[in-house]
Amino acid sequence: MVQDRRIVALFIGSISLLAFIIGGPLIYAVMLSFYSARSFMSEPEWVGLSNYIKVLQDPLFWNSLTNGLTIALSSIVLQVVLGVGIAMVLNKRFVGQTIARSIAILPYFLPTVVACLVAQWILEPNYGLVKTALASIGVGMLDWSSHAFTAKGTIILVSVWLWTPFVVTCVLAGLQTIPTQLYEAARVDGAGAWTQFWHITIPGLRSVLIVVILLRGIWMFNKFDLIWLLTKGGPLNQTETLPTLAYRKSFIEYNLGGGAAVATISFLLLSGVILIYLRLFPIDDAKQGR
Amino acid sequence: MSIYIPGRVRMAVGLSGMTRRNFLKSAAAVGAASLAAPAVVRAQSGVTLRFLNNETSVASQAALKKACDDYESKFGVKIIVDSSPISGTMQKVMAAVAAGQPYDIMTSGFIAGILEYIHAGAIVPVTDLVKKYDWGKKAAWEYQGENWYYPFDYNLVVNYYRKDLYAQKGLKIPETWDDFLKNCQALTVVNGGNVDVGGCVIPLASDSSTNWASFGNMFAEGAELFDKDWNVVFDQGENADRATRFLDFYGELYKTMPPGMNAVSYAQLMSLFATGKAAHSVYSGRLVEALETTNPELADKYGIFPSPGSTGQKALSYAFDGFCVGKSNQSEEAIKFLQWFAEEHYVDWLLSAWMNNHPARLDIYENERWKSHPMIKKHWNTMMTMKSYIEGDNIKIMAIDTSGPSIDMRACNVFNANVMPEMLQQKVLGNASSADCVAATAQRIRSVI
Repeated sequence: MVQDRRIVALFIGSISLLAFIIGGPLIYAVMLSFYSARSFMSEPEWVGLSNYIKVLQDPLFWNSLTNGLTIALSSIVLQVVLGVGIAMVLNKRFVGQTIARSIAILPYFLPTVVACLVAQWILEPNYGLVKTALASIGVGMLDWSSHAFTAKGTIILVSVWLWTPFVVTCVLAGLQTIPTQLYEAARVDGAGAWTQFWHITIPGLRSVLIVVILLRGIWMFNKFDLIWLLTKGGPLNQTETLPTLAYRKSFIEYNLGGGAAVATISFLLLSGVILIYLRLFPIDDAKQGR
Repeated sequence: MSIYIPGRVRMAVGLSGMTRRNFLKSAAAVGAASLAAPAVVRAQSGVTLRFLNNETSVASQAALKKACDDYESKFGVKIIVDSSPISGTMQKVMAAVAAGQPYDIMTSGFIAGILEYIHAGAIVPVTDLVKKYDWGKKAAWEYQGENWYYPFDYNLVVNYYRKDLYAQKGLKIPETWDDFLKNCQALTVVNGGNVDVGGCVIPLASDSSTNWASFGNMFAEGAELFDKDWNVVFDQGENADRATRFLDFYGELYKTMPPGMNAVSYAQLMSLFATGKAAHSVYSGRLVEALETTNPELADKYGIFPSPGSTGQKALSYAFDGFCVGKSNQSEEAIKFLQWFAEEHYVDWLLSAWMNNHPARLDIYENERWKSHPMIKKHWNTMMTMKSYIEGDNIKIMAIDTSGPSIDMRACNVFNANVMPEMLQQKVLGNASSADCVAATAQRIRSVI
């Protein structure tokens, strides 16, 4: 009975703390989206849904949403495909396996700012390593930051480099939970590597992949630092996403209400997608192998 | 005579009878008292001012610290300096005001920020202080009949060129933008598809650097964003023609630039020129400081000129820096400090960034201490050329955020929303026609003001 009370107290305490830390700023941001506020110093003015109407009528919002989805989906697909492939290689026994596993996870330890600065200096079009290497063989350097395709591609590549190790780690852990007897039985039945992969490995990794894709999806859709550090949303807003748009409106244009409206819509969109995703791919069912 | 007492060393001090320990204690007490003197004065004054500084170079911070220490020792008012890069200043000021702990003094370099402070009632006018001196043109602007900041420098965007390269190629200082374009083309070196030396660097990024540095030629051509009643006239009549001509010129000029202009930073604008990667660059006096630090040889081979228009008109884009005084129950003390600082330490402060802090106050040009600084002496011609830009009427000084009939948030909104940089991007990266860019830009201006 005493133990039950402690559990209830701890539960209430945790919920209250979470409500304070997460709920407070969230409610404030949502409230701010109904006001016209040019700074945190001046008195905000109630404008109802005006900020939402303006934001939804702004082509830049839809452009940012499309960019965000493109960047998030492309990088997730690459991270998962590469992550599963690398994890499968690292799951095999070979000399130096431990060292290879350690190296594979290294990029994940890098702070995003360091990774972005390194990428920028490698790709810098006047002094960068790639430019120097290309110049030595008489090839011109592409001005990657001036073209939508290459700017987006660079963001995707850097994100794949940084976060594929996360997928590798999760999938590697998942692979080690698949009973080896299943593969032995499949081989006895004449199943090839491809068949084993589709019918044993992928179903065995289902729960891990559902969680990994969910987390990577949330993180990539909300990614701000990497995009801001590499392109600041340029060129011509072609790498602008909802988080960078919210920041730009709030802290560069000082349209706090507009920025809060973008952030709120982004939050609602992401919540909706997560609900649909979890409905389509329930984690519990996956755990139970259904 | 001295007597030995275990644990106690008696000094041979004759009649005083003082032990060495007592002597040391007394000396320590005297020392502590003298060290604590300012603290006692402070305790008497009971005032501590908070100063937000966005001039973050070591020399500027050191100059400010010396001034603050000096003020504390003389008047017992402690000044706590908090330094922040200029890009984060306004957020810090907002947070401080919202938290009920406003800064008493702050440096400021963006009109938008100052107007926000005014509208929020966060700063007080410093008109009386400003009116004591004569200022270069457009330095001490007024809003609602008051001066809200005490200027210390201009950040005029001049065009830097390489005298040695001009001599090699037999080029002359450009009088029109066609001359400038020809010079840039003549100095561009392309090797194997790479631009080894760019004709010029003029930023193109969606940020303050482009707003600040890239529109001198447009101003020279006379393109206006607003009329006297704040109607947007950028796409109308003669203005549209001027803006279109400017974009056509910029499109050609862009072909001579090294790659990366879309993401070029303030630092890269300087480094591309200082490392010989560009034959021209736009920047303030800070570039001369950079040359002296990183490539002193080049510091003897540069020259400057204003941005030309199509038929020889001249203009310069500019920004400014100054001090604002926060509104609080300590405003009076802060103004007292600023007044003292402006008389006693202003020159030291200016010399902490000797060329970038291009004086806005005209009496400084006659100040012997300022004039005798070795770097001011060395670059005297450049400094005097820049001075001529802020005095005469033959060269326009303009900025995106001061466009329009008066200082107003509407022009600042155009600056903050990066409308003008995006116009340049549409032209050279989006390959849109100049006329379409002008029309789209005018529409965008109407939507943001």
